[in-house]
Amino acid sequence: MVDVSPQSQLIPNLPDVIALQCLARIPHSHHPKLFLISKSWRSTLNSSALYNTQSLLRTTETFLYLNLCINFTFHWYTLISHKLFPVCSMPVKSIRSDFAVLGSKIYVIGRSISEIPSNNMWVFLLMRIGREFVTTGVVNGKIYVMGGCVRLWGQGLCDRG
Amino acid sequence: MVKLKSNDDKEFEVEEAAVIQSEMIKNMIEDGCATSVIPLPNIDSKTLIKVIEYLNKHINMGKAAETGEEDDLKEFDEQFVNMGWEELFDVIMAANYLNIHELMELCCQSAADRLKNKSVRAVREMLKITNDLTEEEEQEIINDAPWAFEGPEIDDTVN
Repeated sequence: MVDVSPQSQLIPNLPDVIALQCLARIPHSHHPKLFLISKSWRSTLNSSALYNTQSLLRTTETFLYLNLCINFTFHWYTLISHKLFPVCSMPVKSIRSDFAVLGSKIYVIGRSISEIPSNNMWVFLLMRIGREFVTTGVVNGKIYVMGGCVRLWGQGLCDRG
Repeated sequence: MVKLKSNDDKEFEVEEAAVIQSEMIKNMIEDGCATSVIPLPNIDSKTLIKVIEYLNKHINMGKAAETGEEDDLKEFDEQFVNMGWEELFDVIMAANYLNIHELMELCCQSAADRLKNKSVRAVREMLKITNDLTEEEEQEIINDAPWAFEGPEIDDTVN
C-alpha cells in the first residue's frame, strides 16, 4: 500500500492547507471538471473547508438558483453564463417546503417525507415539530422558521431544533 | 541590512525595508529576536533568491501608485510567476513560512489560473496525481453538471 501523508492528499508533496489556498481561487464554474481529478479533489471542492477558505480570501461567488413548477412538478435550475441548466443534485423532490440560503448550503425546510438524505449542497433541516408550508428567513446567520401546518399531510420529523 | 541564511548554508544580505514585507521576520526584528544572521531552515538558496528578488522589486509598492510604476510591477509579477510547478510550489511554501501575504496571493492565484482551463489528464500529469475514481463515479460527476463539460476545447498541454 502506498504511504500517503494525510496532509498531502490533494497534491503530492504540498500540504493540503496550502493546496486549498490555490483551489479556493478557482471559479466555481470550473469545479465539476476538477471533481474528476481524484476522490480527494471532489470531496475538497464540495467541502465547508473550501468555503471557509474562500470566505477568508473573499473569493466566494453568488449564484442564482430557480425552483420552477412545470406541469405540476418542481424543477431546479441554475444560471451559468446567461443560460439555465438543470440542477441534478437534489436527492429527493421537495413538496410544500420552503428554502433558506446560508453560507454554501441551501436548506430545505418542512416537507412530507420520512427519509432525510443530504449531500453537498442541500441540507434537509429537521424540526422538533414536523410541518409544511412554513415561511423562513435568515437573520444574522440564523434561520428562523415561522408558521406552517402541523401534521395534516406531513410525517412527524425527528427533533433537532 | 539583514542577513538571511538558506538551509544549504548560503547567506544573503537584504535591505530591512524589503525584508520586513515578511511578517515573520518583521516580528522577529520588532521583538529583538533577529540575530546577526536569520537562519531559514525550510528554504533552499534557489527559492530564497526568488523570494528576495520579489521583495526587492516590491520594496516601494506603496509608492508605486504615486509614481506611476504600477504597470511595471504588474509586468514584473507576470514574469515572476513564469516558472515550473515545482519551483512555484517551493515559492508558495516559502511565502507561507515567511508570511508574505502578497507573494502568497500572487503565486496561489497563478496556480489557480493555470489549473482552471487545463484538461483533467493534463492536471493529473502536471501534479503527479493518481486517479482513484471509479468509472461510475466519473459518470455521476458528468451527469450532475453536463454544462461544465461543454464549450470550447480545453487546454491539454502539460506546463
